[in-house]
Amino acid sequence: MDSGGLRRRRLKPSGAMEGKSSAKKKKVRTTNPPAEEAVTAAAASLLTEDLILEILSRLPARSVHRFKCVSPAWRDLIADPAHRKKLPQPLAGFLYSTYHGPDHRFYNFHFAKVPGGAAQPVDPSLSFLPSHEYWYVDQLDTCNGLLLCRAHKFPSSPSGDDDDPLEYHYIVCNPATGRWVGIPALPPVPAGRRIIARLAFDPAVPSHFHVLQFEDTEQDKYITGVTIYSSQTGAWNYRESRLPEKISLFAGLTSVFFQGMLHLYGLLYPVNTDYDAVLVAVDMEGKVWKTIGVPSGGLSFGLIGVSQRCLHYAATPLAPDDKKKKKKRKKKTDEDTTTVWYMKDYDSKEWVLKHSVSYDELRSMTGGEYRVAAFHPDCDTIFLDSFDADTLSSYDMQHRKFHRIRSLRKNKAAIFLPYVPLFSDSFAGVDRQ
Amino acid sequence: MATREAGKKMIMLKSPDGMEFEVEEAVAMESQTIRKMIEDDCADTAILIPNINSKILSRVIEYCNKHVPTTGATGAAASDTVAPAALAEDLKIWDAEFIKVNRATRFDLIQAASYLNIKGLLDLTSQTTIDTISDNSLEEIRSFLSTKNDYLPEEEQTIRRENQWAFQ
Repeated sequence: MDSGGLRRRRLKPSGAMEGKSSAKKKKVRTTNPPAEEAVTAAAASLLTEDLILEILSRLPARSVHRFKCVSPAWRDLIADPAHRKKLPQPLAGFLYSTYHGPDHRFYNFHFAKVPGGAAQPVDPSLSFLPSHEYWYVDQLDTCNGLLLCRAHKFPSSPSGDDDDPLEYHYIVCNPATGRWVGIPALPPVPAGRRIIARLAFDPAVPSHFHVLQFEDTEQDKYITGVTIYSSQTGAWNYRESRLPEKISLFAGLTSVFFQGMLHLYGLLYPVNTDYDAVLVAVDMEGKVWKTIGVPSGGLSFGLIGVSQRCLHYAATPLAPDDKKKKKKRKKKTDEDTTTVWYMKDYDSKEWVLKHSVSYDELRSMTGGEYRVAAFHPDCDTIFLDSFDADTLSSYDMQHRKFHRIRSLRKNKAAIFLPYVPLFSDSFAGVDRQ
Repeated sequence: MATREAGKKMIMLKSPDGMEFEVEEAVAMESQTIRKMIEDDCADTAILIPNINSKILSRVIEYCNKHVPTTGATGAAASDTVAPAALAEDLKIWDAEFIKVNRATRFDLIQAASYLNIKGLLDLTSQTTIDTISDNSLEEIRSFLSTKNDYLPEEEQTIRRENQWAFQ
């Protein structure tokens, strides 16, 4: 079979050809082994584009994109915009934000592309939203190709008093298709209270997503409940927390929607000097609440993510200053090591150590201070964000290889939202305006 | 659906190489393509399956026979007294045996499952193909698919570089 076989678009196999080839097959099959190759060639050439896509659509993104290297015909087949709806897409990059001047309530939004991502760049300005209606759109969370935003309307009084809470509502959009939906507004949260909102979406359940807005106490910031919006019912519902412990969520970290539960990173309250980080998991009904322990690694920067269909956790040791003190004491502990863990079996809630790299080794490779910023969804690679140099890098855990990807804008916030484009129609919503 | 067919109405399927297969309507209706023909009254006495040879068609029928819901049907090994879990396990073992065929036959089956729109069979055949190829090297995949590598060397280097992550 040559590459022409792929380009030939035969949606319904013709009877005549099949008859001919099957007759040929019967003949060759009775002869010697090399005939097997000829038979397969004949059969493979009969696989239409549709069938090849059918097979590819079941593969993980990594395999599909490796197959681009098989031949130009395969590359074109996989990259064809008409086929993107069916095929799993690679990680395109990360949405991240930088502080907008001295006012830390506002951010500017950017996109950091990673190698292997789609050719088409992601527009962080979300130009498909009606800009005349919204004064400021905050990008909060991504989940399987969709983006959750908080859209603030123009201030009602032109004076624009800083203390006036702005009217807002949530928007869920698909940056790849420009489709979006506005969500009914919730009563405004009193000024000064923080709002943590997250998105949960599974492309296998078309057009159905949830938005979760967590509520916590004003003083100690421990979770008291969550208000959940279901796109199916079109309504918000408040659920009280059923956590037995008092837990305070980290607002500036990514959450993970996995196995029907949203996972967030938090600290047990009251916070003490020891390491008390936990994961909070809540289901989409707000009925099941769980806490999941994380591997203890001393004071560290924790991060959760999903890679290769497993929940992952990484701990980067904190504070370079502390490091120096420790070195003086010549105390080599786990606290000097960046560790990556995963749950082989989610039900067991057991973390298995996947990788560890010492502070010194990482430092000698990178020449700087780095923390784990994200996981590659399809391979054993983590992304590192530098504390001091504003660069995004990747680290291949299998080969212990560090690779600088690109420089980032200055004054960035800590959160990197992974973005894998979704081209399928599994998210409805209105078209670009 | 199966109960409606309890009268065991038979229909005839014809392959292009002239073989005829008499099957229960319920079995044939495992194929959504045939189901539609029957429901649209396009099938009186015999249905010609235009592009699936008798060897493949007989295997497809074998698959449908095994997978047709058992209530009221003859369902080879299954009986109402068997627990659903055991039944599913039995089907899995049967499927694993069924799919032990050479690549050419498997490709023919994928094509037949696609044309006849039999989801279970398409899942089974595609998944088996995936299990074979998902972790193979490019060379193995090329040989598996009998595809030539017609990249120019520099072209291949570029595409390999772009998709480096997928080889990690």
